[in-house]
Amino acid sequence: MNRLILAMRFLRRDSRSGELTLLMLALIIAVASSTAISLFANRMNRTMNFQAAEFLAADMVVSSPELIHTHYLQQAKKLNLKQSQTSEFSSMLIENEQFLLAGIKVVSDNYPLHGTLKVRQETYTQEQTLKHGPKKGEVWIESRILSALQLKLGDPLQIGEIPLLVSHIITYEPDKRGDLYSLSPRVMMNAADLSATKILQPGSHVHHFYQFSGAEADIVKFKEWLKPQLTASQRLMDIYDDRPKIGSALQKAERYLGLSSIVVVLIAGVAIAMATRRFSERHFNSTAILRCLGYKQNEVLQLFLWQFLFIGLIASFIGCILGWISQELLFQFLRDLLPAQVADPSFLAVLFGMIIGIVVLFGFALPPLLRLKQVSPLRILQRDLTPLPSSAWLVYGLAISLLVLLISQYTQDVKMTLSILIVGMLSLSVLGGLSYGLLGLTRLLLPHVNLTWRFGLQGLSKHQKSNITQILAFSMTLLAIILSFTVRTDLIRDWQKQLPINAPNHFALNVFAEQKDQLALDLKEQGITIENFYPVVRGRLGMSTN
Amino acid sequence: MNSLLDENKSYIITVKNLYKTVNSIEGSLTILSDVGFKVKPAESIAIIGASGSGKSTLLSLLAGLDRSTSGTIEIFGQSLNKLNEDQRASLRNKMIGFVFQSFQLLPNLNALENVMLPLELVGDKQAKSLATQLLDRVGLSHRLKHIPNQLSGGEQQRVALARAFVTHPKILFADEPTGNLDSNTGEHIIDLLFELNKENRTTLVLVTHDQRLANRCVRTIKLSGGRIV
Repeated sequence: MNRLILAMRFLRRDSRSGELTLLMLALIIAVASSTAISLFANRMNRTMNFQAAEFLAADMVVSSPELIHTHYLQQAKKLNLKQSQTSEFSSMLIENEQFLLAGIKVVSDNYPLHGTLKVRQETYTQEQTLKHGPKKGEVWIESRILSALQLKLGDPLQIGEIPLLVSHIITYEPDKRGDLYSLSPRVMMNAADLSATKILQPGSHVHHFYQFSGAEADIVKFKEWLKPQLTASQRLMDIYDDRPKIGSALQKAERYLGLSSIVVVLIAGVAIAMATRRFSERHFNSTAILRCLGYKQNEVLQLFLWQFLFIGLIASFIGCILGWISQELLFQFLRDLLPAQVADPSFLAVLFGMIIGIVVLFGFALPPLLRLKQVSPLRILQRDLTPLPSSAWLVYGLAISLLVLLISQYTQDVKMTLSILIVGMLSLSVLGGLSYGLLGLTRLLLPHVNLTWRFGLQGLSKHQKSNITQILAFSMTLLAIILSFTVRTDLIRDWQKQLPINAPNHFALNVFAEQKDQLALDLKEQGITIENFYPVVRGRLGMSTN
Repeated sequence: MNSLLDENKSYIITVKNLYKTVNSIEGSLTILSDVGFKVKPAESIAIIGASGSGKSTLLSLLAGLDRSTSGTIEIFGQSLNKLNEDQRASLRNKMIGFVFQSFQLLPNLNALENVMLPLELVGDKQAKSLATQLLDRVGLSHRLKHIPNQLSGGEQQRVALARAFVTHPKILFADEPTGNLDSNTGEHIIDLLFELNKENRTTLVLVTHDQRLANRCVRTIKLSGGRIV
């Protein structure tokens, strides 16, 4: 406890002299950038999972042309998964002597497990968002059914053998599929009414959907249990494997941002290593005094480690706040390109920033700090007694391990991590060799240059090892910045190639040949140009068995 | 035999056949050779000699800052050769105070914090009040919040004296305490050093070139070429 208080006092006293400013700044920048990126990626991922869950109206769905075994559902119950069921089929509706093929969707009371339904009670009133489907005795229908069957809200609609009350106009259902049933106008009814309609007979063409939601671990467990038991006609979809593929572009961006963040961490790391080296060298005398006053070697080390832990915590905390603000600004800036509702950031993403801060600090600061433990009390009388520099294995080993950890965390790809590392190490070796050769050459130049140059070149040759280290650190940092810039340009160019300028992003379906010209004219008046009309014909493919 | 033990106990420092050699480019270099002496509690001795005579090396060995090549140094009957680095640090913390030629104050700490430091290292809760009292005693109560580079040389050495005496050490080692001061200021510091020494009944071992300072000590040990002459 005493050591902790003492470390805090020393930190306060050192901070007065401004010695820790560079260290703090470097760390704050590293943490802020990693936190901003990890928060951004985390929120985007969660948003996509959230959207995928809405797309399925659950975390996991089993679709089947027949009812599934009840023990599947019992197993889900055992794992505390929430359940709902829907069944979809086509049926011909007849009202006021009008016929209409509708897509009937029968929903259980728990439907939807994720997402909401949107309905209106009058044709042009405000939409209402509901977390449940129609009640027993009611149906919700799409507005086009009203006009096609000459109905109005409150009228009965005959479904099979029973009339059901048209209570709402349905405007949105989360899990609407692009299949045949879903293209037909929707009629949604409660599962409790299904048997009374007597609409489903043996051999009826119907699709059943069983929705499940719960903790990710339970969903995965259930999925693993269920998968081997499914028949060929049954299909399983979940939000983790079957989410929309828009993820790949985002994943690339996430990786790019992650790697750029490593560049920032690397630059910050170099700054931290240099600032700590300076801090450590400036504390050789103070440490000798402490040792002289009776402080033991381990106590000295602990005193400085505590100080650095405090620095790490304070800088990481500030960095996390700045990172948070940055990603909020980023979301604000990209507001028009992102879904309206973005998931909240998770606490873990913030924690990641804190951990990065501490790990980066100690990864780069530990070797210079360890030298302080070696300071002899005799230095107080003999100033030239300088502790030996930390082993190169420790210095580079720690820094490289840290980079491996970060690169693998951001890329999630062993091959890419190894490639980056091997190329990095090769570049380091080549650069090291070049720097060594150049410094060697400067010695040959000494007799031929004037005094100013001689002083400068001698200075370079004198501290050859530390100069080469510094050259390498700066070269790698510059190389990383150039690489990051090149990758960014390539990435943007690739995206632009994937999606040509003015690529259509809205489509009109079911336009008849005689309506084409009028539609083009109407849209032109609105300033919208139609690229092309394509004929679409539904057909059946058959295979000759001759 | 018993009388010999009792005799040893009556000395606070006992040095026997002390040698210190170091390896240099030109081979082995002997800095101290067959040095031996004893110091009684509360005694003050001055180690004098020309530059390079081995004074500071002897001081560093006596204070446990360095190890001898051979021979023994006993402080309070404890052989320094048998103590490891941490045990010697512990001994320094409990029993020994230091005053140096170049003051050796921590530059980021103000006068009060510098004097509090030895007490803070052992978690003494009275650190602030004891340090304030000592600074008052050395006449610096108006300079508590000043950092070393805002103080004159004499003031810095007074802070160093306060820091040395704040733990009530049994032995005070002083390395050229007036070496960086003008003669007037040096005189004041010498007075203060001996006053505090008397008040605290501290054994004083000082290394000096300053004959005035050496004359104030009870005994003088003169070194020449690493030997007592």
